[in-house]
Amino acid sequence: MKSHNRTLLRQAVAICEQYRPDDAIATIGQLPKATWKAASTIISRLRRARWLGWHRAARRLQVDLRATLLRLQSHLGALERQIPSPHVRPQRLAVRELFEDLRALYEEFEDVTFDAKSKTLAVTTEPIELESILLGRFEIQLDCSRLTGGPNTYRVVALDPNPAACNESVTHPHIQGEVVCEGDGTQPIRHALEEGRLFDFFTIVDNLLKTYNPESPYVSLSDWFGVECADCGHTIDEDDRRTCEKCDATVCVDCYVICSHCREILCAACVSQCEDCEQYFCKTYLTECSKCSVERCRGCLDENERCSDCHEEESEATEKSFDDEDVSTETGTTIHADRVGEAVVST
Amino acid sequence: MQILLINNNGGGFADHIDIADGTTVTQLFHEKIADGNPDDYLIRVNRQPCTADQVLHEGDRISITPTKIEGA
Repeated sequence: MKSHNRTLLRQAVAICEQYRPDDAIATIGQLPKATWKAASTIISRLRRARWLGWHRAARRLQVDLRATLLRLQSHLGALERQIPSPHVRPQRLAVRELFEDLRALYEEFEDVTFDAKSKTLAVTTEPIELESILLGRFEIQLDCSRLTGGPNTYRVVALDPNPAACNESVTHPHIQGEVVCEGDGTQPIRHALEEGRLFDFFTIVDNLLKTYNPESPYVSLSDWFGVECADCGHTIDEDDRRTCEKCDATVCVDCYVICSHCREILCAACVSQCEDCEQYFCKTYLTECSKCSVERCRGCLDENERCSDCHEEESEATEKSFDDEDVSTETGTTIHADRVGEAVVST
Repeated sequence: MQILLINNNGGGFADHIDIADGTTVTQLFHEKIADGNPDDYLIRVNRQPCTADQVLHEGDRISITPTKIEGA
């Protein structure tokens, strides 16, 4: 016990030495370029969907856009908070407080390590399971030389990675590239780090990892193992998904069809092909020929709802009957049946 | 008497506050988080687990951290 306490004391002193309140020049992280680009892509798709009249696709894109803008907002907010407020004087950390925090951390978590060289304090969580999906243990690694909050201060590494099928850098619904999207945890995390309350910091992050927010994950748990195309059965990446606007089935870019009449996206179950023009239409747009009952689009049926083949056939039959009447009118004769014994001789 | 309250619910501020002698952990919790259920929070006194009826003393450090914190 004494040697453990001595170790903790050495760690507390080492952490205290890293935190120099006079270093008021902040280290600013990177701008969220990837998130910005994702938002730009969604906006382009949304404009296209609106222009084409794909209302359901547009509604889904709006949901995606909202989630992406919230993440962007969170990243930008974290960057802004990295800049020390001129009105807040950073506190000098007390060795005693850090010592007590470290002791509590060792009691609370399974595994706590301190790398004296990199000044990284790391805590391992229990295996995390969200909605029956086992995400494994995570190691929360805090750079003790940057106790100011923000994305570069700490990272969360998956020790037993079970990432999303569509994006292997998403190891948790709220972690991408080992960076946590803090959401409601942003302010408490920042204040805990600014005040050197390391026990609070690790418990806040731990609780965040154990909570699933279905409103704005990087990848939702329902899509964690990928979504299968309803037609071909292959797993589809998020960018390659299309939604049937009749039945909401998810299909891949290779399988979807666009109705030649209403321009909606359709799956194989909701589309039919006209036998005449061979174009694809919503099933509701096709009608059976009134004569042969084969499905045609309305453009390929006449005013009597007959297809071109039947129309032609009927036309030929009509012509033939007209031709036959014409012949009898010309000769003025009638032909008697056999065995009457008479015949009209032409006059 | 004065204690240090760390409320990690929302803003996450640490403040020294005055409380009446004999105030229990539960009483303080309901005073500070009116609509909260203690079961939804990690409550520590001096960084140690505590009981609901534990009486607070001068200089105690009490932290209240939600167990459900939603990321984005």
